[in-house]
Amino acid sequence: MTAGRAWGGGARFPASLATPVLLAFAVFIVVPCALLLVKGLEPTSAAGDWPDFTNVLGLFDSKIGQQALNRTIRVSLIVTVICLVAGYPVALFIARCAPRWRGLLLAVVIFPFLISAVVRAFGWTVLLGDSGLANKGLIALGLIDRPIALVQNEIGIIVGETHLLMPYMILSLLAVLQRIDPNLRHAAESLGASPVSVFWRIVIPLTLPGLLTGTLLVFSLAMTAFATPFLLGGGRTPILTTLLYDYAFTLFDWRLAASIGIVLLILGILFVTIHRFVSSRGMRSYG
Amino acid sequence: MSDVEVSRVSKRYDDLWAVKGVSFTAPVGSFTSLLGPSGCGKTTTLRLIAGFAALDEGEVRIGGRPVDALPPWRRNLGVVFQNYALFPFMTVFDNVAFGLRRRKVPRGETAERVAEAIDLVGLPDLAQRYPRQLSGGQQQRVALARALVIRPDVLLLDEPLSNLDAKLRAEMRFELKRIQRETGVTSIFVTHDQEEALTLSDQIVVMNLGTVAGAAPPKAIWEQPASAYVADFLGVENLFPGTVGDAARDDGTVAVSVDDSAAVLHVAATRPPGSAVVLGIRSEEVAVRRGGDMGEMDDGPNALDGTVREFTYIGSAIVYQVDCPALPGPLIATAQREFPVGDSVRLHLPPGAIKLLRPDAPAGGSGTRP
Ligand SMILES: Nc1ncnc2c1ncn2[C@@H]1O[C@H](COP(=O)(O)OP(=O)(O)OP(=O)(O)O)[C@@H](O)[C@H]1O
Ligand SMILES: [Mg+2]
Repeated sequence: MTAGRAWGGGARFPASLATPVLLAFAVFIVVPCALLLVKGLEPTSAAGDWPDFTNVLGLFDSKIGQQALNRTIRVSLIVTVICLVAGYPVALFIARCAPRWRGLLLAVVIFPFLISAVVRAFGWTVLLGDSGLANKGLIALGLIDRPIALVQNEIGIIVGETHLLMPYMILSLLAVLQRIDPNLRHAAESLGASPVSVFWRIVIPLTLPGLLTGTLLVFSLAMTAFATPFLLGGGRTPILTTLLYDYAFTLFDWRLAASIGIVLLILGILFVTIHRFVSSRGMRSYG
Repeated sequence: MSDVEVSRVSKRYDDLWAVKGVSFTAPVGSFTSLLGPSGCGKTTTLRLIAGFAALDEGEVRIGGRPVDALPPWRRNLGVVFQNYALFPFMTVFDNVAFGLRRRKVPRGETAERVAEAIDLVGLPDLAQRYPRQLSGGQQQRVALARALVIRPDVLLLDEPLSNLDAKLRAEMRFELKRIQRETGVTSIFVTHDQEEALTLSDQIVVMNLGTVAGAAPPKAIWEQPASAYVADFLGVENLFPGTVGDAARDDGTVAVSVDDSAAVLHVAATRPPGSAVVLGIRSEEVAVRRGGDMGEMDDGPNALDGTVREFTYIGSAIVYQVDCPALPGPLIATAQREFPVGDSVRLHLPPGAIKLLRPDAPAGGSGTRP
């Protein structure tokens, strides 16, 4: 906002540096979207006019399309919730650690970024396979009698995407957690708030910005992930992105593929809109 | 209302004693200041009383009861922080009501008591504003109201005035005094400003390197500081180590020779011969006259010649730094008359104005290894 002014040179200096990137971004947003719309809304019959919604709407008629749509939303929501619920304590722990441990833990959190999604997916295939560590462990604990299917289904996708996206959530939360003035916690404690009460009434509201950023990042990345669901979900559990790939590269039906792209775009816009609405209400008091 | 007894309390951070063997008592309804330079352990002491940090040695009693086993949220203390620590996402009302809600006070009573507290601290009707919409002085008052509304046994204040401008600070000092008198709450106040400590306190605890260097009421500590360190911190500008001479004199004074110099000063006090002392005199007690001026009375003892090295105008007077060949260092003196730099002046140190202070043993607190 005021970063440009803070440098004393007005907004011109950063603006001139920012222009190339912003311009490239704009081009790379507008052109593909336009192409997507042109292709996806292409008339299905020779006589039809251009905005033809048959394919997009038809997607919801087909069983597989509907399943993929539902699964995409379901998986993305579940992954977001798991990342939030499991990531929050981790972020909290790292934020409270002595600085010398914090760096190490941060490296552990970021480490998955250094491995390609494909390699990671193969790793999970092994771990979650019928004779993998997960099944063996569960059998050893006596929780199950024989191996259960953990990959080539939705569980596989959820595990893989959670692993893939957890760092985004943790880093988003950590960014705000580390900025919290410890005196705010002490003030609440001195006023009679137990640690649980301090967490819900002080820490959570103070981390709301990071929480919203984290959920936005994780949800949108979960919705658009491809390699992980492709490798861990198998052919019988398509989500929108893998279905799109099938249409484009197996059936070579570019029109259908583009219509899935349109649905993904609409979902993304919808989520961002809801998110913005929620944030603007939740953050009113942050100014 | 409760008294606070801090006995031999120590706190170590890694290999540094932030606080080492600190003891003092804050009687019921009193106002106690912890005074000392930056890093001497004032905040740490306050945090130990509040329970924000666990102590390594010693004991804190509030109302006669040891509180070591009590977490901060069970101690019923009001704490005001240097940066106020208001909850940024809550309105003024919600900030002040926070403690009452944690205590499950009914709605109606909460509203009443919040209004009362806001009134007590002299805050105008800002209950629905957020902290960022308030001035520093107003935030300060909200912080006070929030701490007082729970009717704490003890009020702890960590340099609450240091973020205010000079005028507001002077005003808030009176406000704080009034509020403390009206509520009668036992208060412990951390400051590095001797004037704040002197004007507000019933008792001043001067801290040095994690230890207590002296504790006394303001008048006593002003007139007879416990040690050279305390005197230094309470604005005694001139301090010179010295040794008491052999015999006490008839006029009730002792002759004290200033170390590393030829000067011998007569001081209205009694000390055994040979004692190591520190001579202290405030700048305003040093009389300055023009050199060679034969004053109203005979020079008598303790007259020193010097030349003006530098001066600063402070409005009510002029402060001089005078080089005295007889003393190991320059002397600070305050006068109304103007003397230019380089002028020779004659200084007179009244025997009754010189304090004989206990030299400080090296302290064992902050900065020392355990
Ligand atoms: N959490 C901590 N970890 C390590 N050292 C600390 C911690 N808190 C305080 N210290 C050290 O303990 C000593 C006393 O600190 P303290 O904050 O009590 O000083 P203070 O008298 O309040 O100073 P100031 O007037 O600057 O606020 C300092 O040397 C400080 O560096
Ligand atoms: Mg401090």
